[in-house]
Amino acid sequence: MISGMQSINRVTRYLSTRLVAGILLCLLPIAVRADNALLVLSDFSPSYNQVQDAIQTTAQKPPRVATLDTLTVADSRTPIILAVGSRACEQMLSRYHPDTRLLCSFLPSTAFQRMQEQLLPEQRHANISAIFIDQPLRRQIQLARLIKPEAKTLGSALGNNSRSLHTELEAGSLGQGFDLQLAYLSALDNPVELLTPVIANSDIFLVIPDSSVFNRAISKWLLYLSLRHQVPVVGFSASYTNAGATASVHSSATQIGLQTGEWLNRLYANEPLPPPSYPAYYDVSINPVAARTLKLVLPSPEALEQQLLQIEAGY
Amino acid sequence: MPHYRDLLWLAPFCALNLGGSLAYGDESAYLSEQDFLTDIPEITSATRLSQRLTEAPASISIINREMIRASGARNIPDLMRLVPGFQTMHVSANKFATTYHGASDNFPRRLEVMIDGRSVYLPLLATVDWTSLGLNLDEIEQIEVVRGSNVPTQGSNAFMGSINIITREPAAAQGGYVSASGGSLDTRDLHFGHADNLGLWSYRLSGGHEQNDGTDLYGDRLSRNYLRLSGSYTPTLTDTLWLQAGVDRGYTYVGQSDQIDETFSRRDHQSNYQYLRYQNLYSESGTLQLTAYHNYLNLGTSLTDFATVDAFLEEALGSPLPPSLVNEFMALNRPRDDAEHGITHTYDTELQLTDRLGSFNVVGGLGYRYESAESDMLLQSGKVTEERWRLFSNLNWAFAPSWSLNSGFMFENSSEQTDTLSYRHALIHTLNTQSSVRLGYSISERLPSLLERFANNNIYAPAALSPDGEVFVYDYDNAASPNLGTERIKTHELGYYQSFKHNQGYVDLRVFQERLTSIISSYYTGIDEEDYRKRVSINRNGFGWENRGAELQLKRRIGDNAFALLNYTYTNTRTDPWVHNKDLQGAAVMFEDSTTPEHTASLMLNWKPTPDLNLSLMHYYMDSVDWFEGDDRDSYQRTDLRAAQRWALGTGSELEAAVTVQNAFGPTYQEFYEHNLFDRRIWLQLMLRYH
Repeated sequence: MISGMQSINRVTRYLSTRLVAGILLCLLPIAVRADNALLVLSDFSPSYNQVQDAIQTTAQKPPRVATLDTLTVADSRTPIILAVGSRACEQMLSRYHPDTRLLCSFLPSTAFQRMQEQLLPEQRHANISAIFIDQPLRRQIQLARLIKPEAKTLGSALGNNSRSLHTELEAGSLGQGFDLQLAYLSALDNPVELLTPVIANSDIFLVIPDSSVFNRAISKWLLYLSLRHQVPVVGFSASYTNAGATASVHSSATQIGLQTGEWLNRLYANEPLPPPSYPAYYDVSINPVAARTLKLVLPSPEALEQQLLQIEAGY
Repeated sequence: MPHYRDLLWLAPFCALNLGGSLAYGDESAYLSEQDFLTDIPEITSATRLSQRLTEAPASISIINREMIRASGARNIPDLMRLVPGFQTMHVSANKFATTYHGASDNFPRRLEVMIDGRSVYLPLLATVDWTSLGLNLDEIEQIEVVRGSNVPTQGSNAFMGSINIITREPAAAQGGYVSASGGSLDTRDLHFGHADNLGLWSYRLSGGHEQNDGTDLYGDRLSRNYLRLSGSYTPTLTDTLWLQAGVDRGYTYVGQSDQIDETFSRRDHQSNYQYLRYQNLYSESGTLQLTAYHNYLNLGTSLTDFATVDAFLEEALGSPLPPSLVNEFMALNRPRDDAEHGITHTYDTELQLTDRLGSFNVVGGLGYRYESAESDMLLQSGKVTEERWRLFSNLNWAFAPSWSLNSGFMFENSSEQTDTLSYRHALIHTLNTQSSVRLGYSISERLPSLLERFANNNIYAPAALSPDGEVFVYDYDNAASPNLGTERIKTHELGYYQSFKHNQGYVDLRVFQERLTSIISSYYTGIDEEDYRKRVSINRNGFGWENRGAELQLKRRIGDNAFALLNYTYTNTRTDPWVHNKDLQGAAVMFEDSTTPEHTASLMLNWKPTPDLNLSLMHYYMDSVDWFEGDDRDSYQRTDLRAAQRWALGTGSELEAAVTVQNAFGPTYQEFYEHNLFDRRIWLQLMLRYH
């Protein structure tokens, strides 16, 4: 007979031990933290914590950690400041001191550009840079090409927050030999009505991230209509792939934290701050069920990643 | 039914301006990283929150379209054979039942079954009638099965678990199918489905006719026609309205095949339903959902004919009665060939809000249900009704990296002066993005159904037989039990879930201990249990049992063209002493075998050697069991085979021919009743699909 309670008790003890060990591990690095680097988190949430963990693991000297509510005036004079998330970046940009070097990380490229324009409009600062959460459009379009090499028309939809990407999207599509079919959606539009002709006339559809509500609102219709018209969808997150997109390219919080940690080590070595960049590390996820439904034979995600890396190395 | 009630369930919709958006965030704001971390909805059955299976606080099995098609199953309960912990019974040729962790009669009453969230549980029979749902298997997208009590999310009916049948979204397809099948039991079925747009609406229309002659021994045949319409409309980016309606009409023959000379009776059914669901994305992370539905079912069995009643009375009384008295007896008692007779309505409306508050994902809501049932067989005193309010919430708190706590509760208030409070807590440790360990604890309470609380019927004798010249009760058969309390289940569980890389499959393990107390059971009370005239059957919260065991589900893709699914469940059930007639001398009910099969297992192998050929093999095993009704059944093994070949017919259409052999290698075994024999059965299906 299986003794459920005994098993549960054993597991409870195991989990308790791990929890205590985890707390102790978090406390230990305090003694060797760097005083000349500060890590500012937008919040304590699982994704920010993952960025923080990756930075702490990668950095030669783990930076001191603060959150927005514990920041002091003196903190903004720390020689190296890492701001994780949009809110942390916004705060540190508004308190920016020219003697410091500020690296914003884990935030959208459009958010960084707009914040910088609004908060420091006067000039570009060589000592301010960023690592974005989003993928370069060129990488996403390239993935679309790898998923469906024979595709002629690329479909996409832009919302109010992504409308500014129109020119870049057109140029990127042209560069990959795609004709672009675009739908512009605002809050009062019927998504099925506007997406149907675009998807019906596309060979592959690329999802451009917009606000959460836009992303959530169009995702289900996009995936339904793509099934209906047998058009593969290239998403921007693992969640999109799980929900039915054929493939997505995305960077995890840990990957962005790793890159941030590597940049921090460069700063420790007094190297110049690299310019704002898209993630260097990324994953491709594919949904085999969607691929089978669409009768697509796809390489493995690792093979797709390798192909993207090789193509980008040739740029 | 007062007329205003017909409209009351629509009231919440009147308060909404469906054409307008409540909110659409702040359009001037820039994107945040949270926009990239947006959860694209997946499974919601366990908590109403969108969750990956590694994050769910319960074990969930998904039966998708690929599995439905490959299984060759001809009804939904047969699909439950592919879910660990479930047992499926063919009560007769056309009456099916499924139960989780056994312990059931032919009317399993402790599972909630929903179609797109609409409960199809029948208050009149305290179970689900699978042959009047107005749905065919080709209309199903997937079935989400929550294994273990899910009352904190779905309410009383989900005492042992819940089944949510997700139908195909109208916008997801264009085109349709026509299928015809025939085979064993003289089956002749025709189904169709068609999806298209009508203005700004997307719709699916499906329907069909099913008939068979049942078994040779009982002639327990079936005939039914159904029609179903499902539509969706999205007036704005953030608003969606779904509408579903359907009818199902026909008949089945019902009876108990425990006696070889049992006569089955025709039971007609007429059912219809109307269902509305409105969803609004009111903020970056918030969703408002309103639902309202109405279910109607009218079951009809014939009045017993004069000759049968006359013979019955002669046997009971020892001498024949004059025809006038037999007629008077029939007028007084309206005896019917079977008890499955009556009309039942369910009206339900619910408001639900889902949002994210920092590290918390929260869902909460309020629901109202009105149930009515009338039956001159089961509820002789007249129509009975019940109103139920429910307040529920579920919170998922990611309190540390890789750790989350999920807590949910459900409070239900019944107009019968009974309240319930059910809750579930689960501590989930995510080992990596692919796997998690879960420790769960829950206490759930179940409100008695209308039937359990109010079932009553007596046999009245004509006045001429009484010394004082008045009609009198000849035999009290069932008495109502208005003061029934709630049933209770306490569950401890340990779960492990791991999905293999690249969606190649998963392992799902659940170790459980369930303690069920205050379970409603019928028993005779009275002066003399052996003298049927001096006893009456009532219900009370007097029974209980404990289940301990483990469930395993393993799915693995083998190459690109094959997969294997393995399910195994071990359950050790210990029943409490169950004493009849406790008020008097008492008599313990003895079970010859476990009331839950100790071992249940199933295996599915599917292989597509070419893109157009689909082969599958299913093997099912169920250990011996002592059902509460139907008696002891030996263990059985059954193997089903299916082969389907597809041919393209030009662009946009294809033809598929499939042959399914159930119990292919024998031997014939007993399904639920001694004389309900399941022999080798063969079906051929032709399906034309067009796009």
